Amino acid sequence: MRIFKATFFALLLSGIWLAQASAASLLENQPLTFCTMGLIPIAASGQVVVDMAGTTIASGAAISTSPGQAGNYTALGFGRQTLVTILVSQVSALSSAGSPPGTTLSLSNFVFPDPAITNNQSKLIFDLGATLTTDGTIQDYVAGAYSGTIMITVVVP
Amino acid sequence: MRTKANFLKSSVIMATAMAALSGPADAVDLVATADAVLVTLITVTQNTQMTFGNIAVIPGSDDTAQASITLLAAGTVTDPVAEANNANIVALTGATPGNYTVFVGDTAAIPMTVTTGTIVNLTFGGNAALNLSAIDIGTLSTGTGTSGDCSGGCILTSAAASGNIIFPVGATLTQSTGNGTYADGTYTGSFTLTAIYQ
Repeated sequence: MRIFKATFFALLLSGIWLAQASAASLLENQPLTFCTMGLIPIAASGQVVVDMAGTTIASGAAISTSPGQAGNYTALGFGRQTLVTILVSQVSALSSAGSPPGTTLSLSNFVFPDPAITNNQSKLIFDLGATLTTDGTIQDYVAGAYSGTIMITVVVP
Repeated sequence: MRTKANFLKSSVIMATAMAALSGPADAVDLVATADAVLVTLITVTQNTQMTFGNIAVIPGSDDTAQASITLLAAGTVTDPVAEANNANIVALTGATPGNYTVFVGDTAAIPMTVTTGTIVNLTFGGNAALNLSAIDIGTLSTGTGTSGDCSGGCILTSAAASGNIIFPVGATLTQSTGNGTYADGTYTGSFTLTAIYQ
């Protein structure tokens, strides 16, 4: 009977270990970083597009002074050669501490691999681009570091 | 009472359940950051430092009046006669108005609010100070707009071809004390020039 108990606990522990090893995870290798940019009131709004290759294009009131960088992420735990869907949405627009109300920068038009398939190591490494758009009056923006958050979901459809 | 066979069966069921828990995941979320750095593209450049040149400061008999001279933005110096207490400042040589360029960040005609402010009077060691006042922006050599006393802000527009607003600046220098001590030396002060999008 003791042997049976030992077997039971061994299996139980084994099961817990397996569950931990295969838990899905999503890691940020490189945050999505827009360019160092200036805003000039030659247009009512400004936009900066960073694509998956990191190519940065500013337009309207925005002038890029150094290129941005696409975000880069690793998804694990979905099995080998598994088709997954990537979903991205803005949680909070980019803002700077102490900046005037309304002077935020919104994220939209996220670009990422679609479809996306994990490799033979059950891993998916992917890039993320997006468009940054001014929300407020150009003249009201102040210089500084702006930061926002996005929600990235990787799901098996 | 459970038999060996029964327990093995239940162990197999438990193991199967664990295997199901440890299979590939269905979904995972990450709250990630996105960043940008916003910089000002406006620059203000001092092309020529404002200087009153060589002057002679003559103390009066008392402090009832303080002498002054005015360096016009156009370049001439108004040099009043001595005060009633004989205090006087005499311009000698080398007076030159300041000259400044505001670049609006792009080659475009953009209206800016240009403001003079925060004056630091001219000092040299422990001598009496020479007060700086009436900062005056002269006629623009590049760009358009009404200049003059811009302590409350002047709206000046850059030239589309260069994105520049270029202008001279004059000011008035006054004894802080009519009968103060003004030893020979270089007296230095400052004022601020601010440009923001209008």
